[in-house]
Amino acid sequence: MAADSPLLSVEDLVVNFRKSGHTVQAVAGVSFDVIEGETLGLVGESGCGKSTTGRALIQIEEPTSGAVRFQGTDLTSLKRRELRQARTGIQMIFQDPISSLNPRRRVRDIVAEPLDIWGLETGDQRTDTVNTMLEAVGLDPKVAGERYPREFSGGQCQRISIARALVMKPKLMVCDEMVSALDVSVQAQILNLVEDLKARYGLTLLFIAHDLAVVKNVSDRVAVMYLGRLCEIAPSDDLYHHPAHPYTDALLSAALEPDPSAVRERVRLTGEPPSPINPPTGCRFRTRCPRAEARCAEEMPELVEIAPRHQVACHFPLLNTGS
Amino acid sequence: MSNLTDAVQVDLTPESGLPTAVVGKAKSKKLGWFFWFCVAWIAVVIFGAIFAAYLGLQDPNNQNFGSINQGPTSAHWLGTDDLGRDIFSRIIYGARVSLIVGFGGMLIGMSVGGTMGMVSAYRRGVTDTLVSAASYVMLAFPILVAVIAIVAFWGHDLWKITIIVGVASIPLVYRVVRAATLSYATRDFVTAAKAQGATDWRILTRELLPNVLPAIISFSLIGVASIIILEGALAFLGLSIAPPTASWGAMISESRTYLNVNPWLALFPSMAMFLFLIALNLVGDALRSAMDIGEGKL
Amino acid sequence: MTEKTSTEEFPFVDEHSGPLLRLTDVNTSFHTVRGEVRAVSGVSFELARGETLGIVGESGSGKTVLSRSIMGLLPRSGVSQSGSIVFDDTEIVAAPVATLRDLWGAKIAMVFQDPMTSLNPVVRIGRQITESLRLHTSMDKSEAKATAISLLEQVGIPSPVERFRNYPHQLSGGMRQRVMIAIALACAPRLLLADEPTTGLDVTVQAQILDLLTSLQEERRMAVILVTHDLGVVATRTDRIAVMYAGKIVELASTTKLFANMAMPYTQALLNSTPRLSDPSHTRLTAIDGRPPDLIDPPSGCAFSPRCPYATEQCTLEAPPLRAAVGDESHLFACWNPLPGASAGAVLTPEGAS
Repeated sequence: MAADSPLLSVEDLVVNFRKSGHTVQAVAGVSFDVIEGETLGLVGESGCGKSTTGRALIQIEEPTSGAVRFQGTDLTSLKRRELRQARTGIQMIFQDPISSLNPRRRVRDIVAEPLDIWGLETGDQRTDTVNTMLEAVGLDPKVAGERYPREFSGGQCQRISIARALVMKPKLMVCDEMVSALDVSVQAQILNLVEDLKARYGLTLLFIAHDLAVVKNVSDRVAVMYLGRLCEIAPSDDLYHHPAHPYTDALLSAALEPDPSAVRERVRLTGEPPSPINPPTGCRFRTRCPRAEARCAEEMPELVEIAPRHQVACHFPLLNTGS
Repeated sequence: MSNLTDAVQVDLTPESGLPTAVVGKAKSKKLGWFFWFCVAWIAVVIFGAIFAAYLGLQDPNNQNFGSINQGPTSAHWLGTDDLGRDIFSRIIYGARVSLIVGFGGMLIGMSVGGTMGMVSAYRRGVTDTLVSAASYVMLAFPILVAVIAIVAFWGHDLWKITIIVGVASIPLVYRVVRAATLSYATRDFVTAAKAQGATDWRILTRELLPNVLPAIISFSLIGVASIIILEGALAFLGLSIAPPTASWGAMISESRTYLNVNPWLALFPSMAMFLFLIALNLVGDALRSAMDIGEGKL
Repeated sequence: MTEKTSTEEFPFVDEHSGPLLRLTDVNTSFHTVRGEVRAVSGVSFELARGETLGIVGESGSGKTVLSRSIMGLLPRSGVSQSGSIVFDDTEIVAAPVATLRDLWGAKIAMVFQDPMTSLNPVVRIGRQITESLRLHTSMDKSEAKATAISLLEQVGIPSPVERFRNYPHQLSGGMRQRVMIAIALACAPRLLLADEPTTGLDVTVQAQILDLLTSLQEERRMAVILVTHDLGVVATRTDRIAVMYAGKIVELASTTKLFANMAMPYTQALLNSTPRLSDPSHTRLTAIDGRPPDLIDPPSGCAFSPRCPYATEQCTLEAPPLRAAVGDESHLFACWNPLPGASAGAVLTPEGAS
């Protein structure tokens, strides 16, 4: 894989909302790259801005500032019509399987919609593509095609959404809490499905979720967000074995492993996450960080590479010497 | 793992897409005989109004001073009014006024107010705030007074009344359609359509409209009923169609003078109006619940 | 109704010995338009005083209906129940509402999943706590307020005196859940039912809430039933675990035994389909094919057989009874072909045989 331009490059993304007179800094300067063919996980707790980041990538939320370069083109600088065209290379899967599908349309029309919008295929060719896609996601096209979304379960609805997203042959798929609303066994089915489809269609994934175990399982690299800023980006296994940011350490230690003998020293965070309307000065995590010092209040830490492909934004990162 | 295609298939079998009864099939709600009876009644009234001239009715404006204020007879099935005109035929011809004002006014209201409502709900943001604020102001205004004033000033031809009443209904239609659209406009399937590159027009017509249509249809029918009543009120004030044109409202209004002499003059037009309005309301209501799909849950 | 003037009587000293809660062959069905939904079938178990039991199952397994049945919180119409639920000598099935009211809050309390909808949004949280106290004890207003503030402190809410006057929307999700726990514990119940108490909360907050429950339980020797779909939640915090599938208990064992020697293919499948942090990235999850069965017309035989890799013909014909493993009376499971390595003596090999 060439080390030249990544498929997606996010530079200093800022997304502010106005909420009852206050400005909420949902995303406060986030930069990362996604290489073609990889799965980047984006993890964080509620209010950290991960979903907003995903939506800002495809310009559903309008970024306040910053650049989103997809295949070299900055999406934020495009006019409406150009943006419509460029967006087809990125598709998104949403959290709520039911609300993602138009209740009044049949599944085959839902899946074929992108083809209809762009007039790409008609007639038999269109039907074939739809059938192929439905089969690829594990649904029987003869049975499923004629039905309406309300006749399907949550897991099946997600499959339909995935089929619809794949019809356009996107290069990048953003999965926004895609399995959070599903049962454990269905979740596993969908995660396996996505891995298989990724290999089959050469996809690149941005996987957004709050469950660290799910994200780690699916991703090559994981990025951790807190209150609108990135704390750490590292390959999945590195992140687990050598977390450098105190917040990552806290997240890992709080995870509930289904193993009665699991031993991990608990890092207990004090207090509650601060409000995004009035974030702390300097490092946003400092109010709950056991390692915070004076410098943390004065200076906002930037992402710095401390090991190959391992970046952390912290003045006093955890540097483990042992494994 | 040898063949990737095989691996994909193996993992994905038995959940083969066969929907089970876990979520529940779409149940078609039965529209009973009463519903169809009301539909038939509406159809009869509309048919009668359109083809009144070919039904062999007596001339509604034919005054016959020889038989004024008569009750139902074989010659005049519903009696005559104070000028000897046949009530039955006047009722049928009079339906025209109600239908034109009712459906015409609703058409204006729905095309302008409905479109604005859908666009507002879809775009939200500044436009929505401004237009909604304007609609609040207009709704606060006493509509009846405004209509009366404008009709009195501008004139009460049939088309003028239709336009005035239609425009008066725009704020309410706007709010109702906006509310109905809002619950769908925020859903992920709309965002997904945008992300696929659909134009706003396509999203409005192909994604939102099919979902909002049931609410629009049932509200329209009930709205037509309200407009017909409004026309009746205008008639009471002498502000509806000028005589001798028959209209239900005018007939009821005229009947006040002769109430103790000829109660039929009040009774029959009132009943005609009442039955028609009730049929409209019932059909509107039944359609709304029939088109209500139980959306599946996880 | 017991007169209590103080709730500070921990740990509980009980007059009775014997189980706090005993369920015998409990069945709960709902009458719906599409038929009778058998949400809970043939559930029996006992709960000792001060014990923590985890009930694990996915959606549709019947775990929430079971927890509501234990409380007696089912709707009055459209539901039929049979079997017996005895809480401390009181029969709950078909008990009159007056009897249940004496129990609710005072002896048995429940913590629900979504604190935003479980708390009254227009009543201050302080009052929601004191309401329970004034109902079940003879405290007056100021005593109740003092107790409530002390409870808020115990559940870890900072500045309890100010928070007493807050409305639910002024608190974060984690704090609201703590308030729910304070309400539940106000009258020192013997049994706490926690139905998915941490689902939807952030990971760090989840851990805090579960730690809180554990410490309160230890301090008061209160019995806790923890209902969840997440095996991670129950792995280190329960004495015993019951696994439910399609309305039945399919495995019941002490926590350590369950994870070390699981007998049910379903339990193993559930465990294997949960991604674990300790696994390397891109570990293939063993997904269970298919979906849970329809509870309206359950198929004959074992409910899990269509999805079970070890199923034999017997499994589709005859539902296996819940029976004890040989050598370990406390480990119960319902399977014709339990996993090898389970402490199961007189049972069948995976190839099956009659």
